[in-house]
Amino acid sequence: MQESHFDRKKEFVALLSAHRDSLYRFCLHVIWDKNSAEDVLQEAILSAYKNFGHFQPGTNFKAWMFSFLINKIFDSNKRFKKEFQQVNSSQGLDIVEHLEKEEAYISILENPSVFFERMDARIKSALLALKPTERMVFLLRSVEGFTYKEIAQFLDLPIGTVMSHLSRSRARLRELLVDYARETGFVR
Amino acid sequence: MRCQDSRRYLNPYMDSELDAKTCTDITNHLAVCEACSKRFAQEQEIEKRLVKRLQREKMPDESWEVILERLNAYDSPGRRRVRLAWLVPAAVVPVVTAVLMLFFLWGKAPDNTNSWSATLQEMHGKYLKQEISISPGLSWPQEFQGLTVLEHLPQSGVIGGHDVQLLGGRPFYAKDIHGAHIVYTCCNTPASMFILRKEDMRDLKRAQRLLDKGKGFAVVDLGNMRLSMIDLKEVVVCCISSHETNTLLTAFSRT
Repeated sequence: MQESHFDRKKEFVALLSAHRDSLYRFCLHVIWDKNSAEDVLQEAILSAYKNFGHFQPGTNFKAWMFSFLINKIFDSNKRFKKEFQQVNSSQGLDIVEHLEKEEAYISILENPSVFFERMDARIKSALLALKPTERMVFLLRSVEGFTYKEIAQFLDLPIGTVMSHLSRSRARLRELLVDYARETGFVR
Repeated sequence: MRCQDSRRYLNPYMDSELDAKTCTDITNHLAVCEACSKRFAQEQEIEKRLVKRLQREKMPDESWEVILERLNAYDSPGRRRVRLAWLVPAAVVPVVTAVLMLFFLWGKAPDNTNSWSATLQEMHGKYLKQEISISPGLSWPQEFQGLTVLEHLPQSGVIGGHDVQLLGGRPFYAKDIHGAHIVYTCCNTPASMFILRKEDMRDLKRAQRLLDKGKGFAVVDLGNMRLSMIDLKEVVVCCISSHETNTLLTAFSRT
């Protein structure tokens, strides 16, 4: 009995440790407050551990863990859930079309190394300025590499809505980078 | 395929989410269109750099240790025995509680005021015990930007004869309450200010009654602390401190 509990925990911790940074940074970037983020993450991990018996070996453990984490984030803040429910599936902004005539953005595209070196501290501020829905979808796709289908399942949204959010968040992020570039004199 | 058409698929193309036919069409277009090819590569480069920056965040070792401790505690033999031993009472208690609640609260709206003031008091206590950190930077996520009061917080200085220092703030999410926690010292005594949206206070009947009775201002005695509240247009500002902070609280109404 003792042995089986030990093995079960060992297996869970081994799977979890491979994704600890992903889970932590996603939670931190969504909730933003370090203390609250750590509380939510601990609750999500404990909840997943209690349900580890239902995990199918060989399936995607990272996606399985994220489903617990996203539920706990929604539990901790009903406003996030409400925003997803209220969202309309209108077409997201088209990155290229939206910034097509933006000379300042073209300058960033031409010199990304210099720009990112100078703007390092502002990247997180730009992420902060996105709506929670946009932030979550962007982080899940671009930073954590989940597919549109997986994100749609996590958030209980149609794939088209996920695509709209993603498109909008990428366009907004680039728009904010242009604003920062102007503020700091990187471009005129 | 025209340039305009190919660029509409930039997002799913970057994410490898296109169907095989559209993907081939775009790949063929990029092979012959230098402008689109350059633009797609540039966008991918921007995305890569953004992601690289955001992936830099790592879980601190001490946070990982806390998680392992919680898993160990959950699995400890003592706890397992306790869990089994408590199965019977655990099944009985909710039923009895539900019956009693129905008996006493039949027809009354729920009032979460006490648990809410306890939550705020707990957060102030955690700050005093240095269990939570307050950021001096005062940067707020987008969902807090509706709170205009955050842009005009009373700043450090002498306010109504009290020496006030603004130490910093953080967003908080606790037991369905969502707001901003700002920490000041007032005459060297810590004071936690909690800024809550009015809409989040709908279930707090007692707090609302107190505010109505006091014409937008109320004080609740918490023993060694005081909870004072002021009703502003969109938000309610609550202060928990052992010091008299009415002057600081009313300074929020002037912002």
